[in-house]
Amino acid sequence: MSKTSLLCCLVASIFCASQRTTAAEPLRVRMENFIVTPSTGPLVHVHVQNRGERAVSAVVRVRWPEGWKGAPAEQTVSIGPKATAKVAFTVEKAVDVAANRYAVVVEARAGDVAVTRTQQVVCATAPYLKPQVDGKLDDWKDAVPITFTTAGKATTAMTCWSRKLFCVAVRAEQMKGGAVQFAVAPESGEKPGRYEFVVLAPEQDGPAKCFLLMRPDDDLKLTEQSRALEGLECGDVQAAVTKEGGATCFEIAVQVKLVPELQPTPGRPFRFSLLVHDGGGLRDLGTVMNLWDDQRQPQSWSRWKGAAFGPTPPFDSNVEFGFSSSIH
Amino acid sequence: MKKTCVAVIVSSLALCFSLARAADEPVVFKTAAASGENAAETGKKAATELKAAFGSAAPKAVLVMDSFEDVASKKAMLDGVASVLPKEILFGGASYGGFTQRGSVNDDGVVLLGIGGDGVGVEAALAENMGAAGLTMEKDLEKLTAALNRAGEKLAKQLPLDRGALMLLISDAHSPKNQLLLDGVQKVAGKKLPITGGSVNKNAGQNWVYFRGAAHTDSAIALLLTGPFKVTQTGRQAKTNEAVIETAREGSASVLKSAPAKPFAVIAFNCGGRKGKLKRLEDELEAIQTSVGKDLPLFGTYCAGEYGPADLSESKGDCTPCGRGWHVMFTVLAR
Repeated sequence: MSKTSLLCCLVASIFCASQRTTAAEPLRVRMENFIVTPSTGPLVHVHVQNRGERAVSAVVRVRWPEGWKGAPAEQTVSIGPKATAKVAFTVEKAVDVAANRYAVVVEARAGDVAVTRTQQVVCATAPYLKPQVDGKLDDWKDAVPITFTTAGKATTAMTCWSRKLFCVAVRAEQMKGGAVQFAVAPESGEKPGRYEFVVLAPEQDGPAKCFLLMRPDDDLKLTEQSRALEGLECGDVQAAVTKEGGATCFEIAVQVKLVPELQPTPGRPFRFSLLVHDGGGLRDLGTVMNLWDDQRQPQSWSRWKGAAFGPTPPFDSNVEFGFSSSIH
Repeated sequence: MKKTCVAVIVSSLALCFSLARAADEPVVFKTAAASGENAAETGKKAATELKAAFGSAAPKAVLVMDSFEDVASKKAMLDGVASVLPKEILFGGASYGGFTQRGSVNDDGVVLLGIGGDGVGVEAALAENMGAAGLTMEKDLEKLTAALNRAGEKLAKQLPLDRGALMLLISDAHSPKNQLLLDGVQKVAGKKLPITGGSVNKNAGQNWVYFRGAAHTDSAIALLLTGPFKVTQTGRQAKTNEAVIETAREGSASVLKSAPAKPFAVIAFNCGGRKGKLKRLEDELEAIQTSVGKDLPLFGTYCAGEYGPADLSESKGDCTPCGRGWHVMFTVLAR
């Protein structure tokens, strides 16, 4: 067989294997977000899901961005049928980049089934910072922004903390009116619930109203009702909204005493996600969290009067984030 | 089995007699801690406890590591400590909390380590205005390396290194910058001198180093302990709740077992990130106490970077002091 034929056969077999893997999806992988900046050497988990009917032993490898070093080189994990396993890798050497996107290739192989996924992993961290809550985001330059684009419109989300406040900032390009809805919860606890808030953009720049939609104790069935916001006002949240150029800027400060389970301290994980309601459309931070497309539970987000949720639910609201020290 | 590092004090013939005499002289390490919203009162309370623990003796130096949020509270805490103990002997910095053999301290607290007795000497050095503030590893590596190397050299040159048994290094240079400062220290001191310590809290507005009762930013301090005692060190890295507890348990037991003489104090410079992984703060201390017990003086503080032997995958068993993150660096002092 000539070298060309051999190459053709090889390419064809790889292509076929790839197609088989994609069609049946017996395995799928996802690297979680970094929850502290990569340069500080975080631990990061890779989720490996076995969608088949038989238990498998999978070998998981990670290809890190150029110049990075991670350990171990590979890990073997046993996964039961229809189950998901988590394997941990340590970033030992890395460089933070302002774009906050890190190209990582995750590979898993179980027998003759292999899956490879290239992800743009973000650092989803809330550093220690004390911004003034006035709707101007010039004092957020030491935050770690996550930017995503929805229908050509850019949105940047940031979080930070201090002893008494958990803060959220959003800069939404080309936004008219609307609202920011976000969910926050401890990483794990006895209760699976969350705190969920919505802040409405006022007509004029200035203070904005915040409403508390969910508490951890609440029945998740509440999420399905399109509730009126009257009566859900939350005085323990300070919010301000301004227009800046072509963007709308939200700045929100939640008193930590309102969400006591978070216990912010550097290194501590928590769960967070965010939606921007923009004139009938939704911008979903979950779109850049590398979630699997079916990680969309209808009860992940509360409906409320005035909000437009399409037929497909947004991505789940409990994405991994972490508290960190100031970044410099 | 993971190795530990044993540094034996090297004595010259000329010093034999004085060392033999010094070996009989007392070495006193005591700890104290307090928590409370009133920083001045908290500082005073901890200092009063420490002074009582020393009895008629007096500490030669006190390591002060606090976890108050703003600089006004930190200065009030220092004033509180200084209302009981001489300001000139107060050294330390801002932390994320800590522990002693009697319990853990979270936010709004202070942990003290008093060092005294005729058998121990303490020499102190300050490197102020290092020129590292605001510089990042990503954008300013060259400048940062030069500034921190220079500061490390400056610290080391102020100290009688040939007599040193252990260096305590406290810096406003968090991980991974802490290695750059240590490189400077080791350029002068060499890599054999046992060093432990930590980087102060790096939260904006909290990055303070204390030297003779005054607070400084963009600075580092070193305390050189001299005396006829032996130092055993080990470092353990962890990034999950279970691993933090287990490495604390195993690391402390290992270092204690390796002590070549009777231990009289345990020092643990620990990582604030490790603290963040703990579901229950006391779990780590309780793991340490399974070997260390509750009577041996134990001084622990959570930092933004730690100095000591690294526990990295590529350097198992290498005892050279390093600047790292995510570590607990145990040091046992014995004689």
